[in-house]
Amino acid sequence: MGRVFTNLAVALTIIGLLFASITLWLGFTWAPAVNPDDWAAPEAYRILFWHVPAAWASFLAFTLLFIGSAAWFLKRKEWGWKLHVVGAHLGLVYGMCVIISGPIWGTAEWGTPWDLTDVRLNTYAILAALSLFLVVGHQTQGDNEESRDTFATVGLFGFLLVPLTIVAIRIWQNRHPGPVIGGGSEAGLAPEILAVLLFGLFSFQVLVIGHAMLVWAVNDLELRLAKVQMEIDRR
Amino acid sequence: MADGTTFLAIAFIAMIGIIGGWTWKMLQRLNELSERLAAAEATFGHAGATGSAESSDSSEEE
Repeated sequence: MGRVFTNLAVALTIIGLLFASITLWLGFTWAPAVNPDDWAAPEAYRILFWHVPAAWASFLAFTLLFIGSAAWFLKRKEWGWKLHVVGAHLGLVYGMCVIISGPIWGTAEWGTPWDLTDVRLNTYAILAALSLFLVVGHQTQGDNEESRDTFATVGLFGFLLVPLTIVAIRIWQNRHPGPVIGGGSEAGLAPEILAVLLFGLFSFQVLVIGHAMLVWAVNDLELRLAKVQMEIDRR
Repeated sequence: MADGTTFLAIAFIAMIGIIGGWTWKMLQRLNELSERLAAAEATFGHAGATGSAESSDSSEEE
């Protein structure tokens, strides 16, 4: 892995963080307030400027996890395993952002942090738990073909929850608000709110690419270091 | 009961903490691994040179 790749990873991460900060600033200063008669906690709606992009970033991470798991499990591609590791890490980081910010907003707006009858909340929680299982598993289990196969299988089947989670708010909408983008005329976001949200999605897109390259570079260095150490031990 | 702004602040502090903390951890790990790899490669290069010198010495003796 070249120095250029690592530098690009760091640069994209910093740019992504900068853009995410600008999103936050715009969300607090430029985006208008919502109608206080329609919401129990109108000010708390601004959580969506990071909550929705973080959810989007986590779905991208779970997609990487799926592609990587399939490439490793079916073709034994080393890059597939690296992609699996990247997807699991990022799925956990962005998944935690969603899982923590969602119930905080729920407490303010609904008066309860969780609703066990809401499909979207529960399928997403399983997805986040799955990425936690994978990250902990990678760190505690030895790196061999058997363990890789097990984790890749979990990654493959776990991905089934992604489309289910996405369509859940269209089919079984209970507590979780409906889709804010592509949700039809009922979504009814003010143009300024939509603009900040779209900028937030772009920011997290850049950030997730930077983070993915960063984890890839770290994973690559770990493998190279293990190889060199094995060579030294062999002599 | 805290108002919406308090919940908003807690949520953003949590998210900034997760993303910022994890990014910081990854950057530190990247630096640490780069340094360890450079040191290991230097040792390996040194061991390689010593190893080849030893093997050439032994071949001369033969």
